[in-house]
Amino acid sequence: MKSVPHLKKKNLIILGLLFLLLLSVLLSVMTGSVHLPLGLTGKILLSHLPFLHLEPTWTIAQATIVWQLRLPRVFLALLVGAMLSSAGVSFQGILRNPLADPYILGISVGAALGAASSMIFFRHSYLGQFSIPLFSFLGGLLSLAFVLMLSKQRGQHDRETLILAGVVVQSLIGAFLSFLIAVSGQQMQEIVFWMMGSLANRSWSDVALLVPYFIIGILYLLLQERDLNVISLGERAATHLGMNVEKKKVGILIIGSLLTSAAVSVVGIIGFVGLIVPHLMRLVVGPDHRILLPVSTLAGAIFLLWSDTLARNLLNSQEIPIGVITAFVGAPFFAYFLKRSLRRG
Amino acid sequence: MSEFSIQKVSHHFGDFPVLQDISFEIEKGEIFGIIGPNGSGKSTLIRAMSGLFTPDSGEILLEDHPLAQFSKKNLARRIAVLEQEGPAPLPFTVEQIVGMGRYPWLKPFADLSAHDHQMIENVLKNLELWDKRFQKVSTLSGGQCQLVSLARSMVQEPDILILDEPTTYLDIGHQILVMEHVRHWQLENKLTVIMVLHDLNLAGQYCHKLLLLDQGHVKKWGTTEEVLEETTLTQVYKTDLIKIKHPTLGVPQFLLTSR
Amino acid sequence: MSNKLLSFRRNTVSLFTLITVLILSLLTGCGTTPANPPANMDKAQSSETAVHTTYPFKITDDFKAEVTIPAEPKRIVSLVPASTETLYALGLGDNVVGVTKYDDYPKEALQKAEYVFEDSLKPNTEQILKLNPDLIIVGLQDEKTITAIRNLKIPVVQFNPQTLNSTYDTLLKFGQITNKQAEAQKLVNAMQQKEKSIEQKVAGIKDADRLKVWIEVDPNLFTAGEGTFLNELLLKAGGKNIASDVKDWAQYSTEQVIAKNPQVIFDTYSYYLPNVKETIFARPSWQNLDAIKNKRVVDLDSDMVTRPGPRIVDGMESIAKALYPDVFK
Repeated sequence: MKSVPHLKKKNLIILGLLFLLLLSVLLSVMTGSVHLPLGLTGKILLSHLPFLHLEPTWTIAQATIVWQLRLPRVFLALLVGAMLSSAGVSFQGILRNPLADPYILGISVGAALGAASSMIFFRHSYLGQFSIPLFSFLGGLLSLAFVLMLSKQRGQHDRETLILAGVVVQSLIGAFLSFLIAVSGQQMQEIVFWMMGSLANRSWSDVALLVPYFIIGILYLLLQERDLNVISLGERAATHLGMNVEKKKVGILIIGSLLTSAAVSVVGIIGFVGLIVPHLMRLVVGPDHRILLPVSTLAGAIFLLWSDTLARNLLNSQEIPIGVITAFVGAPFFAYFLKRSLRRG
Repeated sequence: MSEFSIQKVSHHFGDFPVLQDISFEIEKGEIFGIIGPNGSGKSTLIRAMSGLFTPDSGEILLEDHPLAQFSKKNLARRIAVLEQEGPAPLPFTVEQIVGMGRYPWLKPFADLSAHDHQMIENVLKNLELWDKRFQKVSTLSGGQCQLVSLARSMVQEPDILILDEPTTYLDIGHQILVMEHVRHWQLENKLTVIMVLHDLNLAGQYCHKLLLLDQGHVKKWGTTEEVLEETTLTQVYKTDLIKIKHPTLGVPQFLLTSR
Repeated sequence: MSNKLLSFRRNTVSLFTLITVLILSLLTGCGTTPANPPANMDKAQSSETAVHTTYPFKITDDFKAEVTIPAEPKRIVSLVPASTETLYALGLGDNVVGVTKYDDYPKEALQKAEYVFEDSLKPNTEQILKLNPDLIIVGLQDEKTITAIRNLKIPVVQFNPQTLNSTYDTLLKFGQITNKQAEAQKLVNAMQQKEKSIEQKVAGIKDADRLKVWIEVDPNLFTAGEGTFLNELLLKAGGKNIASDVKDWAQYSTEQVIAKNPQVIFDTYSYYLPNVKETIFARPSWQNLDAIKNKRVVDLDSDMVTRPGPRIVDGMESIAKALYPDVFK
């Protein structure tokens, strides 16, 4: 028996999204605060293909803009969007809470604290530009560790306890962070700016930082699709079906947190993507994680790419914080689909 | 060798003794009922027997091996559990939910095989759910949901079926429907069925053996006829019961008497 | 009397008169006339005789407030670093009783003051009163704060010059307010002299040789555009501002900086962030800029180029030296 109807549908949707992704990449690279003619951008992109030899009709500055500024930023947006929404899907699945987002266990505040600490105390470290991402990454994982420790009860992590522990850790670390910000003086602006999330002035090295986490994280989550389906039956039912629920839960939470921490460490805290995209896709393609996960990953990538493109192009030369865009774009979309699904009953 | 051997099992929730020194045996192929008032420890006992937790003291042996030694997966291939609430109102289709029952048999990251799909089809047709297979479970009635859960359990190909108050939320029509399917399945595959029931009449009609629990103790254990005895039941349930004989089936039935 | 005696007396008297006239003219000539009289001298007394201020002295400050100074100020609270520098340059160091924690030039300003205000934007008004000042100088504090300070019924003047000429004006006004007009004039003359000499040297640099400059005032690529003080200093020092297409303090995008390819990069924020030059040099997408390739990234002393006070022309000189080291040895 060959592919079941829903699997065919899955392949079609994914193909469609991949096509949309490619289109979005092209459009995004062609827009910016410095106007570059369309054909020129295309030629600059093609010139990097090994077998093509094109005469450079462009300046070094133009090539730098396309290749060193726009393209890495595009890839970064794709990666971060994919990482945040796939983490969101996995958190929503494992906690069986469609309102869960990747920051629900306090990772965002932990990462922010790490970044703030790096900016204030470890400025002169030899790690240089990797100092902030490293500390914020560790900060995010530390938050998760606290949450897991706090919620452990007889070897189990009950999901309500997890969420409550997340709230506690978030408040505690958040208070500490606020205190740091208040006494930080000169660094205050820098810290607050970082927290708002931005893809500005990121380079290929930032992309390279994220790629290994992306690959490991996504591969792992894709392999958990079936298990995530079974978990939605409830933890007892899943146990009765032979799943080691505790191990699965902690494993998925850790990997989801890894993806989130890595993303946040490079671009700061970008909200909405990890909550709205998975939820939206759930309304569109249904709860089966075998479709939901890949679709959300792609949709998240495209969504963030568009958000960032708007963030850097709406106002001339001034950047709008990307969190503002994700909220403004995501909310109406979501409202529409919510209404539509309610009408269908 | 009995299928299940429960030996001197005790368990506490904090200071409260939920199960106290419980011992009994279940033979292969039996329909075994566990009855008793609320708080007598029925659900706790059944959860221990399905491997959800290890009791504080005592032994639970499955086919003469301690239950704790079985891996979760191995256990799932032997025991299927039907909870009283039925599946959560998820937007999954009937077919998808039932398909999840094959989970214990699938290789780590494999998908459903042709054989799996055939089995699912058979079960769905058996339970007259085939035409509803693309419907979302969230749109079904309580009775239909329970049938879906039953189908999922059947697809699990267990040797033992554990039912935790399977008829609580069902109307009388669906109660009989579900029980009939269970009995039919039991006869066909020589299943061992363990049921927690609060409906004494269903117990009387369907069970071979019964275990009567009272406040964590075994009050009585034996054949249905032996256990379903008027004075003991009146004492345990603390209400007046009148025992009668079913007019056509001849099995013991009980009438509630209002005061 | 003999004729000889008469002529001697006549000569002595003439000599005496001559000497007296000479001495008197020397005394009155002490108030030297400035070479270029500055514009906008509000209610100023004429330069030949304006050596001392007479009190009560009325003045209109930069924010149109009409202030009366009843007597020569002896206890001054300065809430503006540039003003503190000015007061010290006029020899009034002993009279500055209150400063903000940013008033770090000259060094003794922080030590000599009786009180140092931690919060320069919202200074504690009670503390101001405690110092019992007879003059308060404010700058860019917010309206509410300034109104509150004005309500203390102590003379408050608010200055915010944003061009070289208005800076000179302000310095002279300070001289008037504090009865240090001669000192103020001397200071302004010296500054204008320096400015002139820089301009003369710059005039010799051909337009094609003038360097394109990117001024970075903040790591988020904020710059000093058209109409800013920094822009004026840069242009007068012979530089070209790549951000001349934006006005005031504006934000540039990385793309715009790269497209304009500056030959020199100035940053003005190394006083509060470490390793600014290294950070700029390390920017991956900036590697092909002339400024990076030729290693022409310079930390400017922010105080010198932004404080509209006695050192502003030194700031301009530092820019000129950074741009054309051969011309400005």
